[in-house]
Amino acid sequence: MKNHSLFTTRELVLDALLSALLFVSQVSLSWLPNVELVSLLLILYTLVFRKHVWLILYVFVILEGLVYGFGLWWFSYLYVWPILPAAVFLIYKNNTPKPFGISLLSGIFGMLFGFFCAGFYLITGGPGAALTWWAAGIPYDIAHGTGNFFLSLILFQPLYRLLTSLKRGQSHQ
Amino acid sequence: MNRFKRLSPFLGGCAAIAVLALLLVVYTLTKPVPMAGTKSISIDVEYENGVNEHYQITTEAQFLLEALKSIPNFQIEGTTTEEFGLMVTTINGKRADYQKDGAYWALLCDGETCNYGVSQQAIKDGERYTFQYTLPSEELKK
Repeated sequence: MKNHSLFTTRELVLDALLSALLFVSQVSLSWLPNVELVSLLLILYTLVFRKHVWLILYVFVILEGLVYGFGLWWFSYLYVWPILPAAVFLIYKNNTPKPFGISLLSGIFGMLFGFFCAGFYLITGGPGAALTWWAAGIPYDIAHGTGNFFLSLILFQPLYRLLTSLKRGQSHQ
Repeated sequence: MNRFKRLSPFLGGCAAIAVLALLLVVYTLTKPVPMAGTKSISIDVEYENGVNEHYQITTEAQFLLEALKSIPNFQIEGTTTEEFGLMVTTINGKRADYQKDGAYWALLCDGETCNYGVSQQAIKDGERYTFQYTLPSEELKK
């Protein structure tokens, strides 16, 4: 009998595990302002697990809302985080990922995170509120981008190798 | 195509530098500029039950929170974040519980919503600051 489901049970379990890993990485580094592994993990998940990243990402976003509350910031997460996998799909359609390029992408995303989130404040509070909100957080956006750049530069290669070998092992089972 | 691939790290680096420069320019142009010297300002607190309190002060402070702290019997409390400073929850014992009913203390500068929070709002001579107990239903009426 042919299986018509979008994902197999094995894939769903793996996606749940990867979402949990994403969430745990966020919580465990939350004491460091704007230093996070979520961006790097999302890039890796997109490169290795392709379309599964959407399910993993939205489970993560819902978990964030359940734990921290569904505030205004949460609604911006619905469209801000997906920008990163979308950029990876676009840039790395035919290209092989290199640590420096990935680090730049992650760094630029970190620096523009506040700008992307301000889009939601544009709708709710108008251009003045959005600009003020964005500008007030710029030093933190720069720290975010710098952190993303260096974390990706150090961790991308080993994590990419690890995840690709896990993926290979999974597909051979 | 190969030439483009060789150039892509350079182009990526240029993009990162351009974004960083843009952020620095926006931050420099929009950061609040405090005014030096003595300023005379008024502060109003509008409570939920319609009761208002008025304070008139003269201060050397540059930001609103510093000025408020100098007023005897004026109590302001909240949670502090590095990014936005004090997020006001309680004024003179009256708490706005956002988790419970969406209430919050709105900060107005001369009747318009201030662009900054109480810690980052630079004060100007002659300006009137209002703390308004606001419920979501009242917000819709504005």
